[in-house]
Amino acid sequence: MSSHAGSVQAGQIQRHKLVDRLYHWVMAVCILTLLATSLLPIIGWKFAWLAIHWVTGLVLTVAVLFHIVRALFFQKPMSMVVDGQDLQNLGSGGRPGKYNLAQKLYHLAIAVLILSGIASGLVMLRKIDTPWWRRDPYWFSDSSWGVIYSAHDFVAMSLVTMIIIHVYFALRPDEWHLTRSMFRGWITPKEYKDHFDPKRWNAEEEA
Amino acid sequence: MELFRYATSVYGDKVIIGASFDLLQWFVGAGVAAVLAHAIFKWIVPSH
Amino acid sequence: MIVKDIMAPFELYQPAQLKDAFSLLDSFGKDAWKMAGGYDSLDWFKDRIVRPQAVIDLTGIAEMKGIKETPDGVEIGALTTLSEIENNPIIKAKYRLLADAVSHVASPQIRNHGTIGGNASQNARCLYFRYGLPCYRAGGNTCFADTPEGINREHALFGADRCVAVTSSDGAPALTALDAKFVLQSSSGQRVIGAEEFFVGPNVDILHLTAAKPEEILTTIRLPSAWAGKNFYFEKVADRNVWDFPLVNVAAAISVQNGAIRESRIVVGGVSAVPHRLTQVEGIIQGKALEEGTATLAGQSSTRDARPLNYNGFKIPLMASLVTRAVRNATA
Ligand SMILES: Cc1cc2nc3c(=O)[nH]c(=O)nc-3n(C[C@H](O)[C@H](O)[C@H](O)COP(=O)(O)OP(=O)(O)OC[C@H]3O[C@@H](n4cnc5c(N)ncnc54)[C@H](O)[C@@H]3O)c2cc1C
Ligand code: HEM
Repeated sequence: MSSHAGSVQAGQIQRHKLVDRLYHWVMAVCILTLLATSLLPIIGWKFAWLAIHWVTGLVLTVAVLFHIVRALFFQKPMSMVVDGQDLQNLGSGGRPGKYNLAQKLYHLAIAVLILSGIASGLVMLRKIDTPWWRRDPYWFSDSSWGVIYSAHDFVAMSLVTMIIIHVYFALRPDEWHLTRSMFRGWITPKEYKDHFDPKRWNAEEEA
Repeated sequence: MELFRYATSVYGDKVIIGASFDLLQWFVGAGVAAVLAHAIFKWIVPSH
Repeated sequence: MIVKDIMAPFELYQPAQLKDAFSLLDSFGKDAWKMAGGYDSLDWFKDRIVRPQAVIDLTGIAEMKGIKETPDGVEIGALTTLSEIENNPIIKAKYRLLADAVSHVASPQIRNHGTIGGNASQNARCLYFRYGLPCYRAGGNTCFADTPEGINREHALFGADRCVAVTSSDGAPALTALDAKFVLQSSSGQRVIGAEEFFVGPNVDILHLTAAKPEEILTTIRLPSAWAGKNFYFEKVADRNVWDFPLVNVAAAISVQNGAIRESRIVVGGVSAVPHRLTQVEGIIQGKALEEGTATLAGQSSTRDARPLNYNGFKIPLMASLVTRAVRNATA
């Protein structure tokens, strides 16, 4: 049986609470929808994309805000920050805390990309009609809009690269314990012992 | 291959209007290359 | 500086067969431009807004010309001129709606050389777009027409999505009302699509008004026999009576049985990027007696979802009365 928000059973080391797993999958669906709605028409598959796109963009914005608040105030934000030990481990091959260096760097990159996508996207919303306002192209000059659109476009294309890499790692057998934990929330005590440094990730205390 | 899409503005200036989507294939290529590089590395140097 | 009225150089190809045209399109890709009568194309070239590397003049392709009857209706080659359609006895007898519509296009000279394929495929006439500004339709990220100062008298009432340009074709609403099928061919085969798929709005493709891909040629337009000989009505309102694009036009095909409307197709041009089919109005009047009250009801309900811009509000009553007149006056 899968663990629900905090309840951990014997033989299960909780890694992601239900709410965090839900956030991950909501974000994944949003990003894939945003990419599909924007890039498929560009490569030739035409459909009415914009309404789905910006509404999904707003859902993503709310989800990310929720995640930021939760991660900063209700979780251990430092567990996602690169520290000296991560760099030392590079040479010594020591075990990581909850997240390894690659995951931390990936998180940093994806956070910058998604936040830039959201920031530029929210500004671009001013350029189109929504139920709340008529569009206003005069917020910025032509060239400033150009920079904003370019940022949005580069975010989109970079996310494609990032997602290819992410899916590859999720599918690698040596990472399955991590992938599984994003579905069911927990890893086994053996996986915990094999892959993590309990001093750096005190799973019991966290649960 | 250009990095950006350009247009001539109302005032006759050359302005950027967005990134060039011709670059998309390179971004896909970069992802695939990273995956291949890692897979080959892991295959040659198996972790203990 | 924007140079006008002098074409940039291009290579001109004049294939005599479809297969040669396909291989040219395949080899030049996006740098090729298909040209039929040239009445739309040459404007773009002379204004230097479009600078193709290769212009493929289709007019030598005999298999794309002419009108012939088939067991299912009639087939019109995309290169058939508007004058030929206007004067063709089969079209006049069975699909008078189309003959009427194309007889309202521009001027006799343009109709003598302009083709039905080009008329259906012609690009938007928004003056900002035609002037070469970097608007959405030109690949940019602004609409200049829908701004507080924008001149948008000729623009859309329906279906605007960032771009507010409209279709300016007189032929397109008639083809839509007649349930025309569009045959698109390329080196990799052919597809046959209806008007609702052939004409595309900015929500689906902000850069093009039709679904034809760069490598595809519209070879034939098929009119099914279902609407042959029904009651028809076409009317166009423009600033000038000749040589001018429609502000609003209406094309209606109505099938009447025992004095009641059995089925209808009412399509309005000049109010949306695509010929605007009034499916709801068609539903409302279905089964109703063909009388003044029904016509008025059709007109009144036709503009319910209209979203006027700053200067095109006049199109709402204009459209309503054209629809009323179409239902009232459609005749066999
Ligand atoms: C002064 C003036 C007034 C006009 N007034 C009217 C009017 O009142 N009503 C109206 O409806 N139109 C009007 N027009 C538009 C005119 O009717 C069309 O431009 C003409 O019918 C287009 O036909 P064409 O063969 O000359 O097209 P072209 O210029 O050769 O082509 C037009 C477009 O269609 C594409 N194309 C052409 N044939 C094919 C094909 N077989 N397959 C795929 N793509 C194709 C071309 O690439 C091009 O983009 C006017 C034009 C002018 C210049
Ligand atoms: C982070 C994931 C996102 C991706 C990958 C993405 C991708 C894209 C792309 C490629 C375009 C086309 C831009 C162009 O034509 O130059 C686009 C347009 C747009 N995006 Fe996003 N986007 C994302 C997030 C958002 C968000 C969060 C919003 C707002 C809530 C948003 C709102 C818009 C709008 C309004 C447009 C259309 C602007 C216009 O055509 O004028 N996007 N997006």
